Amino acid sequence: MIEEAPLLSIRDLVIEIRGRRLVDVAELSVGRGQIVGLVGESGAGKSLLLSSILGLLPADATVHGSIIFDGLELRGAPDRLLRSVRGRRIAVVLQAARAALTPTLQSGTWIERALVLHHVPAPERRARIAHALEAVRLDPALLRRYPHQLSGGEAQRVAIALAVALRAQLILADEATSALDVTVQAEVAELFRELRQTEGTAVLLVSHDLALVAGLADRIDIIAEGSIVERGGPAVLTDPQHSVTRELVTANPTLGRAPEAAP
Amino acid sequence: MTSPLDDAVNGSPSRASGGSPPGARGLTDQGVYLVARGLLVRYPGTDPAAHPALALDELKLAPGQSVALVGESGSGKTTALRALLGVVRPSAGTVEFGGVALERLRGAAARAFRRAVQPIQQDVDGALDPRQSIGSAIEEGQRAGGGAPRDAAAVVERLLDEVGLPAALARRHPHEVSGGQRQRAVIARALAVGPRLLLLDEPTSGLDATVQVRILELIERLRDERGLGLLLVSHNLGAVARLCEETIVLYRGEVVERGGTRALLNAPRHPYTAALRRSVPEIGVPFRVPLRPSPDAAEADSQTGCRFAPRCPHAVAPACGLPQALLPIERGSERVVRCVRAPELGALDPLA
Repeated sequence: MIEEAPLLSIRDLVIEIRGRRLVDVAELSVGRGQIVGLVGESGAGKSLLLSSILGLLPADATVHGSIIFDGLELRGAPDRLLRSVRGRRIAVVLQAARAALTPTLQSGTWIERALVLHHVPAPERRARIAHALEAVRLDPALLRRYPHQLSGGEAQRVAIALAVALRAQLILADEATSALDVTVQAEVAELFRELRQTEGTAVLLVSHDLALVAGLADRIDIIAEGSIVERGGPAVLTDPQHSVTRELVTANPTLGRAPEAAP
Repeated sequence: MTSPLDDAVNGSPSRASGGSPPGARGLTDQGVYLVARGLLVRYPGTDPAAHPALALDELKLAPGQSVALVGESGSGKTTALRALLGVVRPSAGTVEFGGVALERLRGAAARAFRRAVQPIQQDVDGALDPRQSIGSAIEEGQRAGGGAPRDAAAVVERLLDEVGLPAALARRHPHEVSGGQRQRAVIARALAVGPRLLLLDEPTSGLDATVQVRILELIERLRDERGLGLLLVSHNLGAVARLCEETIVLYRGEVVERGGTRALLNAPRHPYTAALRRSVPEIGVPFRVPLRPSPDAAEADSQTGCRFAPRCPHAVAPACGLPQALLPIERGSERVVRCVRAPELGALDPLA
């Protein structure tokens, strides 16, 4: 049986800025409809990695290796190609949900404009938005609100609704739930799981919240100093091998004991 | 059934010790306490018929005591903290420091209040002046606390050491240090004033998990060594379990449950407390969504009965549609809960 090529496949990715090697990832992939967690501390290289997928690295960064998305090489790809992928086939959901929206636009207009920008024909737009609202369980009345009139969780749903309306194949969620109340965080996390079922959307979930990722991801990659140091299913967290993983597990503020003490 | 959080709740060896020696400055703790009574806060321009931003019957905080306020955004926890600081003026009720209402404090009493009660704000980055070195910020705190200029350098060195920062950091500016170091610097500056009570608003949010733990350890140590009183506003139940003896759970401006932290988190009596606890993702516990999404604020405000009822899995008509009283779970108990169904529901499973 031939295994299906992953949706996103990163190989031998090295990112250097001013002579410093900040990312050195031999292999990282996200399958279609898969939820992969990328966990590490500040400075571990998570954001650089995401930026490289989107072709948004700083100008003084040099990149080696390959980033294949759905058969397309994104590293060094022409702007035209990157623009057709970025935001559309690969959506981004950030921590600062409200800041991601445009403050002067009602959220419905914001979604509509993005669809226009990505050449979704007018007759299709309405149906896509209606479908997206249903998929993320967002009250259509909220489309008339401006970002400052939305709660953090609502703004996050609007951003995810856009991803659904654009039929994104992959969502890059960069600490997408970190700033939310724990109860709202659980709702948004559940939403990612639902979208995987209903839309087949894959998610690369970047977070420092190990416990959240453990409950959500099919696979977890632990990143430290630019490299993946440990990888596996949620069991990685109950039986961590690498010292960085162990430290992250013990440090989890909701956990009172080291994993070694677990029964 | 136990969970890691249970252990955090049960296993914390050091509790706040009321008998700790007084502060480093040799202040006596006589009269150093905050009491809020019958507190009602409405923000200007809000509908007077709507529920207030906060209604809090009573809150006392003295050196050596530790109280947590937990709840979602909009629950009123930060409003409560600001009212205790005197920066939000209540529409009704009073906050007293040493028996005098905050708005009546003058002269030496007002200065004593500002020294004794120090806030640690959520916005670590905004808490320090970007143009001022960390050493000079701490000196400023020391002067505000009435310290002599000739002691300033020694105080800066001692405080940096106390919060676990190298002495060389005194010359650095806020943007030159990490988030965790910045929060330590903010704490050092607050300590320089000579506080007896710290009012902390989400002191670890935005920090890496490992850094959060170190900051919590620091606060815990200061609580024990200096005998400080703590008011902690947080949605991090792990932090609450670690630092606070008493916990008050707020929902849309109202106290829904209150009691000893350990019992409250391990055996919640209010369905909202249970839901908060279940919302915290824990390794080894299956992921769950314990709550229906929050209803629109307008809808919730039109509720005459239990405000939590629209999201509550246990809500029944008509009992939950009636105004709910905050009642002891048993006669004489300090543990109080605002839920008409609490007696029949009993202790709720925090993990179910």
